[in-house]
Amino acid sequence: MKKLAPTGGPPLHFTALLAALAILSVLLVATLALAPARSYFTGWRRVQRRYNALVARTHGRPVTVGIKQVWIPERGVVDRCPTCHLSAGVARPIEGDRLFAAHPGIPHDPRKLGCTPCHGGEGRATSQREAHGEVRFRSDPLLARVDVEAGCGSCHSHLPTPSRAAAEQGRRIFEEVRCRDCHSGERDLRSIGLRGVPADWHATHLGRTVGDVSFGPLADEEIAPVTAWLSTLVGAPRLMAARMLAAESGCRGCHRIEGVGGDVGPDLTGEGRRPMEGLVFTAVRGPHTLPGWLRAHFLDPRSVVPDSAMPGLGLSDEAAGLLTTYVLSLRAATMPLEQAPPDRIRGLGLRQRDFAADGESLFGVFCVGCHGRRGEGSKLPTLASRVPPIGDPEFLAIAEDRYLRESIARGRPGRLMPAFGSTDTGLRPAEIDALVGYLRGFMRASPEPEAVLSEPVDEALGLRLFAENCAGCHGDRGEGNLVAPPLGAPDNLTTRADSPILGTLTNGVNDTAMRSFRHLDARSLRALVATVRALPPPPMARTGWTRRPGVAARGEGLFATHCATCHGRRGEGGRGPSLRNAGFLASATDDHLTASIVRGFPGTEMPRFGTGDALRARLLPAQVADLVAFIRGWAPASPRGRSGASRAR
Amino acid sequence: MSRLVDALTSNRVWKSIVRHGYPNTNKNRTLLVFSNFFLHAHPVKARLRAFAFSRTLYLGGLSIGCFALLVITGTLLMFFYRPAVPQAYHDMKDIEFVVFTGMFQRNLHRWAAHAMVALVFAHMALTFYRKAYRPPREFNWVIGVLLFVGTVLLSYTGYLLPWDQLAYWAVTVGTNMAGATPWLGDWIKRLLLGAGRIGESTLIRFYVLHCVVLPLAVGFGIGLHIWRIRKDRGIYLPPRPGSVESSGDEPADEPTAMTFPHLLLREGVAGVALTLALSLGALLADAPLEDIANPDRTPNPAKSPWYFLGLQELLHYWRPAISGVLLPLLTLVALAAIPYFQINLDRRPLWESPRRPTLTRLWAAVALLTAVFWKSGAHPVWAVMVPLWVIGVVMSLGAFVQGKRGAARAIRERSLPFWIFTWFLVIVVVLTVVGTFFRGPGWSFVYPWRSGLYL
Repeated sequence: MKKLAPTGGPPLHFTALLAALAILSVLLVATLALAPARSYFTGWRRVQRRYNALVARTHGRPVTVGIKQVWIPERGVVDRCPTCHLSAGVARPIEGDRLFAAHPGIPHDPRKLGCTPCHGGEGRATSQREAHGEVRFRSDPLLARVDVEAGCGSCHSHLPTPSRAAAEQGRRIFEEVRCRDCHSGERDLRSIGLRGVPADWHATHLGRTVGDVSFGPLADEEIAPVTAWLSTLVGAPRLMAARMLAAESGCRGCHRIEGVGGDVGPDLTGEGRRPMEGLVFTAVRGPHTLPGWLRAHFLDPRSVVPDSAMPGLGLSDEAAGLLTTYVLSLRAATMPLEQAPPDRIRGLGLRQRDFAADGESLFGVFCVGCHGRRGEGSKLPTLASRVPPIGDPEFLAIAEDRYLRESIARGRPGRLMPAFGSTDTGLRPAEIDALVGYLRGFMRASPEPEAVLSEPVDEALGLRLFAENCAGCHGDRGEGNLVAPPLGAPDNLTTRADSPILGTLTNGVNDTAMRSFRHLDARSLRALVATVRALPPPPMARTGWTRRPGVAARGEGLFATHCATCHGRRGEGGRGPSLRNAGFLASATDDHLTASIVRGFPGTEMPRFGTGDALRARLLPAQVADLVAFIRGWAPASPRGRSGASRAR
Repeated sequence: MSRLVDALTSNRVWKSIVRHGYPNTNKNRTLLVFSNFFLHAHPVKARLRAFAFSRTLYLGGLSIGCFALLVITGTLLMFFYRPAVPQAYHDMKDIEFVVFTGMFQRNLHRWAAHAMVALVFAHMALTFYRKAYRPPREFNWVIGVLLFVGTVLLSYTGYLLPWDQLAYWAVTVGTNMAGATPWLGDWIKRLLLGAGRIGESTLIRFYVLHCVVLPLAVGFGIGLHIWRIRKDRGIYLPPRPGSVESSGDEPADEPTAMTFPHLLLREGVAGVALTLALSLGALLADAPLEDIANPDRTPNPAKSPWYFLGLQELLHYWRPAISGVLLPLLTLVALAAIPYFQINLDRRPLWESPRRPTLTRLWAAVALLTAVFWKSGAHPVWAVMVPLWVIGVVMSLGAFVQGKRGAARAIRERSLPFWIFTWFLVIVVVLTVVGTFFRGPGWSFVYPWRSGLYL
């Protein structure tokens, strides 16, 4: 080839460059050939060849090697899991093989539902790491085997959950009576809970025989627990156990789940699919996954959320694991209603509750997280003072039903107690009534009058108790004042015999500040009765005594001295709850206020001002009346606001 | 054998397609280049000095090579991609897992895009240092600046298309910066987004920009850019030693060589080498794909792609209207204006002037600029000041070193515009490195070896 000879310029390196071009081109072709190799030599191809090799030994049908997928456009499902997991609807299972064994029996066909709606993971991926979600940016990774039932929550968001105690009792009865002897095979009850337990199942049973075997009836009180147990049989025992544990852990008191619950903590409706952004893993010892974080959170909330108001629940590892499964089942289902399962339709469409309606269950669902399992109160990390023990008998003696209902419905502004009265997100009136009824159960029963009156009299005890409990309103010698009537007056019929005194002590007097003292034991009650009987005659007479309100102007000064430290200078709250809010003032009568101030709130920092001690001055009845008048002055002028003050006696 | 070749090449069909003979004569070599549609942008022969790799590092050609790779891989990807929400993200997954060699195509596209941004920027820097914008080539430099803007915009619009978290929030940062423009901000932002916020309208808009409008614009721009090079007699060559030409563009008695085979051979080697390097990168490193875009979850930190991270770092110091709009615009205007103010064309060494006054003026300027960049921003702008001091020290060294060769001579003989441009380059690099590696949640300063990489 004739080249133009360069004339004194830089050399042309023709041959060298031609060789370089040749070499580089070869390298490029080799590199480009590697690219299809990466697409061809894939993990799933090896898996399918292994299946075909296994199946060839048994002369079964091999699969065509290629990507297999479940494609359901109307649900947005594109799941390529069957590419490796061939037994999920593509090919015949091979028993005993870890990958090719049959899918466990479920009421669903994987070919019609897909895989990822239940299992999570990235359906479109064809590599194991990406499909199972073990990559950095993957949210909603594959559920671990132990948590696999949480996937049911993707659609079954409102499974009816009975109380754990009832279900456990039902299970025991179920085993004792040996229902399974007949209910096996075709009559299996494994998913009776999904189909719905007929309400009259017991009655229908009694009319049946199988061969010559008939059934004995169950006792009346055994039918409900067995019904509860049967309703938990949905084919997902761990999920139901988790839901029952959650239903007695008080989660919904602070967290809204599927639209029901308080707003103190975050809404947990989609928490099971929560993206990992923003999660702090410093204190998580296990794998840095969402289940790992949830478990660490349950064991010690403040270790993973530094400013959390959530109390430590004192859970065992196993309970934390169960609750983790529960939270993972909260997957924010979004399918249209016509694709929803019956429980979701009942929950969302008919607005039926997925928790039981009795007071004890409701208490477990909403209240125990803060108020304790027996209403004993608790110490929350972000509150200066304790959560009040609403199960305390003396508190319940002071609080009327209306006050309890209003407190539940309107909450406590400025504190963590939400307003549960909204029927959309909270409790219905019947449910609030059930809760109040349950709380009332914490009060002591009225003692038998004979049992009390047969106790020996302890005079010293009686004098001490009188000073602690009665003198605060009735005066040191029961002489009476503007708040309470004279006890020892000769014309006071109530105090002339033991029985009426005992009756007043155990039941209180309606529409007055005299609330019951039922919480005292028999000996104390007997001593008090004797002390009241032995009171000297007072200056004023009983007839013609009326209750008179205090002077609000004087109450203002008293409030500043005694109350403002905790309740705020303007009653707006601080260490103590806010008093200056419409809900409180509308539901707390003057009598309630009087009794609260005199008797305090046991278990909280609200002292018994009627008694006084080394730290606190004692407030005299007139002062208490002034305070009540002052506080009442905050109420908007409404007929309800003046419930007890102006009522003549 | 040669009879077979003759038979093939001397029949009518062949001659109707190939209008020249075998290129073993200069006439045929000329015809090959001159009459070929794809090659006729080349001159038939070129000056030998223009062939040297070390002169231009072939950066312009490599940029065009990247562009060609991007057009090819981009077209291949277009067969599988739907610009709708959420199909875009799902299609990315399908390209990765189902399409045969899909991941390779996607990787090649992404790494070619990053390479193009870097190459175009380097090409601009080297063109400045070569003073290849000397009149009459001023407007070609401006076209080059516009092509750089076009390249960055192509990268920016392409970035949204996967519709993952990275895409969504990077575009959020960019459109918010654009929206900070005074008076026109809201209108510009709405023009970009196609709606009140990023969504389907934005995606289809960016798709059309990325696949049709910008490639056509950049393609035509490249054509124009090359056209002007041809009309100015090839790439810029400085006057040869001993000649009195003012621009080196006058026809002279210089050695030349035929385009075919010599220039085309070099272009071939460069193109294959580029493709090989990018293909190896595509085989070994996967382009990332995060979770699907979620408007309710902002990653912290929300970072743009690396070529915008320098700008995002600037946002840390001044208001968006300044950092995001004013400073970039001023930079582009200043860049475009370089040829018109004859910057650096006389190559006057800085230390030609008397030493003491120059040193005084230099350090007074450094002090003034330090004060400005210390106080004017929300924080002291170390990324600007530290390079300033370093370059000031190196400049001052030039006043004292006496060496006749090598680095000493280089430092002593450089001109002021050279140092200023170098300072600009160093700032860009430092800002980008800080923004990429040293910024973590809340845009706090982190050490990557301690806290890991927030990319």
